[in-house]
Amino acid sequence: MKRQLPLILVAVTAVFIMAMKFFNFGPFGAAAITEADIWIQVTYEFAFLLGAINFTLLHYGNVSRQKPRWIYSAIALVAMVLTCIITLVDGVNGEIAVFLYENIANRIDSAIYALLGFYVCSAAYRSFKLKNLEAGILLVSAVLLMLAQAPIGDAIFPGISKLGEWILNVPNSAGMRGIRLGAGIGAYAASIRVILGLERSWTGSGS
Amino acid sequence: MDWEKLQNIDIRILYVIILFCMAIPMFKPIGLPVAVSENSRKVFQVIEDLPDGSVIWVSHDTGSGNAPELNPMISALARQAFRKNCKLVGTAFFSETVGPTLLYDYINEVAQEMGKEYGVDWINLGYRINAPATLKIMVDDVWQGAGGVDWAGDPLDKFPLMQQVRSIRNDVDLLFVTTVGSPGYGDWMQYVAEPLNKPLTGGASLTMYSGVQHYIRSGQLKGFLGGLRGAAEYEQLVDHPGQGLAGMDAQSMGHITVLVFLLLGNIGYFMARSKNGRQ
Repeated sequence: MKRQLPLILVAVTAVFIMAMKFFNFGPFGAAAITEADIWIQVTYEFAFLLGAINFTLLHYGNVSRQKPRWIYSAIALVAMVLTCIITLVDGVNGEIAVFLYENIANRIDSAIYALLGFYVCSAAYRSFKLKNLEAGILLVSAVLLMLAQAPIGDAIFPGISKLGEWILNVPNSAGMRGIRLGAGIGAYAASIRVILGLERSWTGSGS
Repeated sequence: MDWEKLQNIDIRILYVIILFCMAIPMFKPIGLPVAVSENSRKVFQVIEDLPDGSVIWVSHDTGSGNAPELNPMISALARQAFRKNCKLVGTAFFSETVGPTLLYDYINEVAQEMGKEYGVDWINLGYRINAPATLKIMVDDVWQGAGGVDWAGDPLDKFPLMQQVRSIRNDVDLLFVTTVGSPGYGDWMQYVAEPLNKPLTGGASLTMYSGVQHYIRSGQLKGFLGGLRGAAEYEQLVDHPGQGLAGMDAQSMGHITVLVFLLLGNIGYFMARSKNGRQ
């Protein structure tokens, strides 16, 4: 029953919500959808709590067993606990809480994002080699788009920005639509498997 | 010559060169003109077509990572809107501090320059958790959705603008959204733009373009400002160069540096291959 209950719960909930969304049940249907939306948000909050618990257990384990680089786990734990305490005491919009968020979290976020620029450059240099046709197409597209996105491209090759627009609008969109369709169909298939109880990996018991 | 070396240049050298190539134009801009794309022109035009005094809802749904390319869009929007005496009502649904702070700073800078007053010509309602639920409420009751206060916690009844803006349904004429993914244009369309038939426009990182392109084609999204380039194009249309155009020179130099290194890497690869082939 311990394994059956989550499967039944998911199947019933999914069928219920689908029925409410696809068929007109009048005011009852509208109220049910609104209620379901609230439940979804509550579930998200639980997922967040679960994340915090998981984070604590993982890093506490690293610290207590003195695993390699455990010091980073200790810093992560201290940072989380301190931030929680300060935010609870000072309030979400409190001076110290906002200062910490703006001057530590946001700055780190910006720095990591900026570092991506350097990594992208080094990755492009190392991997964009004209080894075969596919690599050639990728390389040419990348070069064209890089030139098209910067004004210097138009200065060197007038009109290249229009070519860049075309690449984005036509081949890129065609590929993207294919990916979206594939992902959509995949999501449907996966959902049906979950509803029918064929996909059980999410329960932690394997398929 | 050892062509292998061209393929294995110390990556630290590449980093230093990129750093300098991008930093120098920031201090000494080259001022290259930017060709304006159709999508940016559409954004400009849909705002230009609004009657004077319209209310524009601007949501700066960004984090600190994408902010440098999205902030200039907010400045340019404020400039275009204030020229037409349009009112701006701001929100932020992505980041609790980044979005509302930057929204305030960037609109405030333009507002002060153009003599526009907070609470009369524009307001910042700040961050609200759970975009879909909040948007659903704000459609019919902005005050309730905002919790009755603006970003600074001041009651909305003290602001003349908010006497005019009670619901998005009746009092807002256009939605301008910058986004980094979620909440995204899908949310804004589902809960606001489509049910209320309100024009939706805005900008995001260029990497999101392929994800929103179908919305532009269907006419659900009125144009799109793609990344820093889109911001620069918009600044050019508004005829007021700012951070977007300044950043384009740095972007140009960065791209050219990468292209030079790509060329070197490929020359090294081919020469080494042909040398190995001969041996």
